[in-house]
Amino acid sequence: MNDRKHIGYIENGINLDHIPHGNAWYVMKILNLFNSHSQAGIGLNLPSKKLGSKDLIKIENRVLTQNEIDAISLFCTGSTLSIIKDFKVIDKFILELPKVVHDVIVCPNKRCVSHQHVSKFNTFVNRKDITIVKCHYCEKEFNIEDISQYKF
Amino acid sequence: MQGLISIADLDKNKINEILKLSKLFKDGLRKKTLDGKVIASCFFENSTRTRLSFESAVVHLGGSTIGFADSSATSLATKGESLADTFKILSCYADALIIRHPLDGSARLASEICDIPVINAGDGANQHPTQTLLDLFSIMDSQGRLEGIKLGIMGDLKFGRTVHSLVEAVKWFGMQLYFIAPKHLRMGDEELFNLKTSGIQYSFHNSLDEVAHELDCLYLTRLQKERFVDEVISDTYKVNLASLANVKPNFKILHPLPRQEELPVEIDNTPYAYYFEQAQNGLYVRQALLDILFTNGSID
Repeated sequence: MNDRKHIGYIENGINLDHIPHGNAWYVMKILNLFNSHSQAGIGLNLPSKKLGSKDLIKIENRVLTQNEIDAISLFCTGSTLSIIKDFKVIDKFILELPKVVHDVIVCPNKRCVSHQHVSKFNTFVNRKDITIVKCHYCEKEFNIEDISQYKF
Repeated sequence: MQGLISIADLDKNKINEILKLSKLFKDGLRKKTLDGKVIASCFFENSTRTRLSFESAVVHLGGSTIGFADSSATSLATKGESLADTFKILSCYADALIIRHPLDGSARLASEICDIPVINAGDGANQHPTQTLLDLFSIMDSQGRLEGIKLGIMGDLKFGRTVHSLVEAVKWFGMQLYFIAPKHLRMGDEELFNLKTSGIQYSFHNSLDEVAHELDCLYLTRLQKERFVDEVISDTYKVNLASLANVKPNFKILHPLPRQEELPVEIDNTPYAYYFEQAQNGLYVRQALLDILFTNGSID
């Protein structure tokens, strides 16, 4: 099926495609779409040759900061981000796992000092191909799947 | 100037430099590197050995200390001042900050906020790098070397802070490790994997008796009874005179202290007891650390 049929074209803004199935929610929360005036199209459970099933988000009149891209990349590694101007794609890149994410993850370690300040996590993929996030402050490592609280 | 937050911040050369200088201080070296310097010694939780040995080291090097051993009288505790502001203020009155705080990562945070070097004297369950340095120094000083040492580590290997830091550091020195702990308190898989990739040999044992005759040093950790499933098992991880019957003449017992029943006082009178000298070594190691910091402008 053609995604454009479902949620229309973007004149100026962004198109985030190939979001792993179910992760569009994180993008909506990170970009605070629920409380913004930007028009957005959300596609959930769309068929994808690469992923089997994917999500997709298009947002009109929205630019992303690097911190927002890093935060989104944590949940959308491998997704395609297109920057659109006058209906044309002027830039397009694949999101990579960010090395560091600032103030996105709430450290699961209740005794971590980040609860009194800001959070900062380093990320890497371990030998079992699992994405690990390591708290910059308490130095504890967590499987990304076990993170249940975020700052957005 | 860069202080010391984590043992992982140091490489083998730097650790060796600190240990060699520690030996010189132990052998009587006198220096006044901190003449005219003020060192803030801020302990937000209790400490005996770490605080006093740090403060003694400062005085031996000709410096002065300010600070507190009880944070209950600070604005942090009584007026709701933020931790970040508290750290910033501490850095206004001293040339370096020695800090112990119960929250994990607090020393790293302090080092990012303060304009002066910060030395971590223990941040919750996370790091205690100067303890690791004095543990290494104690092994070296009691055995004359670090390379090839057969080191037994007994007790709670899963949750013990000093054990994790020590194991992180021994990877530099090709020691052979004997882990003596019940299955549920053994070291985690990732840590063991890191040891393996560093070429460190290790083995698991259920009691000291199995391996006591092979060891050069035994590093004991405090026995936290609640971690053991029953008293019979916890008894297995205590040292007693019988378990020392066949040890090598150079064998030494190390313990970060304070001790509980895992290390009975009857052991104190054996030639194997090294833990009080180990505590004293803390003075020399901290002197060396402060001397390097203020001579070179950085520890790492």
